[in-house]
Amino acid sequence: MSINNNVAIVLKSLTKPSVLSNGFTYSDLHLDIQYQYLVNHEVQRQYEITDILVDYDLGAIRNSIVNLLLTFPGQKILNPFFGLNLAQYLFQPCDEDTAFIIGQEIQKGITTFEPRVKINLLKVIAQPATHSFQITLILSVPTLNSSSFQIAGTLSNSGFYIN
Amino acid sequence: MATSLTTAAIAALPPPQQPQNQFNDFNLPVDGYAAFDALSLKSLIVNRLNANNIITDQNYEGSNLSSIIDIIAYSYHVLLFYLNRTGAEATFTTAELYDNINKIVKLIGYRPIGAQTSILPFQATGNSAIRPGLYTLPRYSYVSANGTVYSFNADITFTKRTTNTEELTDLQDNAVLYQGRYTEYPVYTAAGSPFELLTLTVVDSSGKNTIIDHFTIDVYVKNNTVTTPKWVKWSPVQSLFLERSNSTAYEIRLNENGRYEIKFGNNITGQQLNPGDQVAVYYITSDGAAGQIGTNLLNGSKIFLYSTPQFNTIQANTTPSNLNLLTATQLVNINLSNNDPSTPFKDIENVESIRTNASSTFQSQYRLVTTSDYENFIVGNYSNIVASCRVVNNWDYIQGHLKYYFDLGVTSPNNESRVLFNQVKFTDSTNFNNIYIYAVPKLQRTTTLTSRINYLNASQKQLILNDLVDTQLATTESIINDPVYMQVDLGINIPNYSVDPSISQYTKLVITRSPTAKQNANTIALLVANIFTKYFATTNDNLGLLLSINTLTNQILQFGDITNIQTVAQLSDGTVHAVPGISLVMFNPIYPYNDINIISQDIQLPYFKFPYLNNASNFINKISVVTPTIQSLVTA
Repeated sequence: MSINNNVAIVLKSLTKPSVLSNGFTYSDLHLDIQYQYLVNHEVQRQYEITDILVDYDLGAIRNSIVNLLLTFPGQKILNPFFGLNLAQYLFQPCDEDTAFIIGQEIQKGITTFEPRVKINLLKVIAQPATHSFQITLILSVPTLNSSSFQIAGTLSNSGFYIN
Repeated sequence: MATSLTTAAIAALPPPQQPQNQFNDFNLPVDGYAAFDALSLKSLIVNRLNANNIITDQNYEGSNLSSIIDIIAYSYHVLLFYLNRTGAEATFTTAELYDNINKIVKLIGYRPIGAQTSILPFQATGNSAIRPGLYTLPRYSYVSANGTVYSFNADITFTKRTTNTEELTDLQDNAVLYQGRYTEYPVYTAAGSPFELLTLTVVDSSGKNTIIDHFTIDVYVKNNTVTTPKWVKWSPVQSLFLERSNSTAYEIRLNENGRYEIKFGNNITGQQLNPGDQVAVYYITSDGAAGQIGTNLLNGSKIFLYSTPQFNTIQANTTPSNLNLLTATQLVNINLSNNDPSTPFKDIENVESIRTNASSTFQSQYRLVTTSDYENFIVGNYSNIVASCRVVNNWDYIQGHLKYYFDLGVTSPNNESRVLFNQVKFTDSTNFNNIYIYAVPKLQRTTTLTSRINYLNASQKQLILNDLVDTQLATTESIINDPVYMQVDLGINIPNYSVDPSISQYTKLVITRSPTAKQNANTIALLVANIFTKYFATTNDNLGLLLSINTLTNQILQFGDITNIQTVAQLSDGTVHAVPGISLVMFNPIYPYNDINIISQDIQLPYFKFPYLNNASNFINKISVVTPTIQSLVTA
């Protein structure tokens, strides 16, 4: 039996995405939906061009991460597996062990649903005094020259909030 | 050979057919819109966005755009679901909602049947206080059986022949009681428009439609344009379009909302109401299934007159003056009783029933010509009385039922008690134009003795026959005949013995249960007994049944824990005889030695035979479930 060494294995997540005509790599709708001016002409309104507001690159990826953290599995109509059920840990002891499990859950979710990012730092700190967890995420995007951004939020008995 | 066309000829040619584009601007089949579901639509949107290369994050489940796409795709999916549902509900074969099938069958003139209240046959006696003479019991009179009201739907004239207490046969043979009390609908004042429609809106306190008996709605009209206005009873007809311009007729139909619509004519087909005419409607408000009563509950009940100021006027206007109407004082001297229970209440026709009956009714066009027309008519209109019905012509009757008696050795088959009874009661001496209707009443009876008297009584037969007269062929005479009941029990053929009905006393059904069976022996015996009792229930449509031993066997084997079935007879001399499978003995209990058969394979009964299980309630005692030990199986 011989092995054909010429067969390449293609990983979609590792392919270099094409760059859009406006120079950005990723683009997503901005919510709430707003207009933006592509051409703004204060005097002659007929020349103005408006379009829907779009988030680009890090902004687009940030949308995905925030949505992932704020969505419960089952909430997304056509993909019931999408989301993280972080609220379930609020009934666990507010300690380091639970914080560790929360961290694992977040890491697993990001790896599954957001292949564009690399986790540089994931810190979950239990705050027993307020029975909450302080979550800090620093992420970098290899396809955007490792540009990084930070998301910080609090998981408390009233839900998960991005700071 | 080459041909040439002139310019004019070329101009006259049809334009060349343009090839039709089968795809729209989005590269989708033009008729493919209904093929999408949410996921395929989401995939389509994502693919198109990818092709445009303006926005990218549709590919990432977490993006805002992905959420928007999900919502759009799912909304479309839901809309398509309703589109398909609506499409399906628009056709006769696929509609599943009552409202829709009701409206669809209106196109072919079918009128769905509403609720049918319980009907009660009764016996009546008049005591000596009623002098001999001809009397008429006024319509809508009622009796109360332990609080359950039953009413008469028409004037019934009968004769009291003697000065003694006597059975009022004319009354009891020609009338039945309908469960419920007659109710007066508020008087409707006509607008005088063509095809004027009056919708009966009768609801209870919760807004639900009150149960109105379908066949006992009466309509009276008072023409206020004449100098001396009088109430006149108008007649219901199948279709106004067959009526004359002065015909006092109306159509009545149960509409899609479960309410009755009464439609009057337009002076071309059926008389039109004049402006200011008054319309009075009377109907029976039924108690539904709660109004059913058992035997003897009517015993000793007295009849009460129905009376309202409006009805008294209507009665005075519509009753011939020569009728001797019974008064409240005279009614005290009439006693009612009931040997039979009331028939079961029948709810409004369901969707499947409408689908079946509409096509057969359309085929017959509300005329009774073929034997299947008769069967459909009776099963459709009297399903609260009749459980099973077969109709044959005179030739088939002679070749079948009469020949059967002749073969039994009855030298004058026409003198056989049930045949004679029906012949005398319901027909004349000319028989060649007879149609014979075999009908089994819808009564649940389980013991041998009562099954043999399980016949429609005279008043029920008369009720059906009266209804047939309007639609059957003019030359036809219908007779409702009684079926030949065949008693079925377990029994086997024993060598050197002639078949005898008593074999059933010694025969058992032996079921061998698997040693690893999940169900215990008693449960299996109960289940098997249920199969037999259900198969031979007297409420089944079993006239002329294909008695299928295979079906019975398969139903038993479906339990899965049974390894063998045997029919075993242990005679009084101690000998044991067994045959594999189910073996039945079937005989006519009136001629038990002349018509008796052992049945061990499927058999088609003739149209006049109705099988019933002997002593069905105790049939479980004839089932023996045995469980072999593991050791015995190993040894074997």
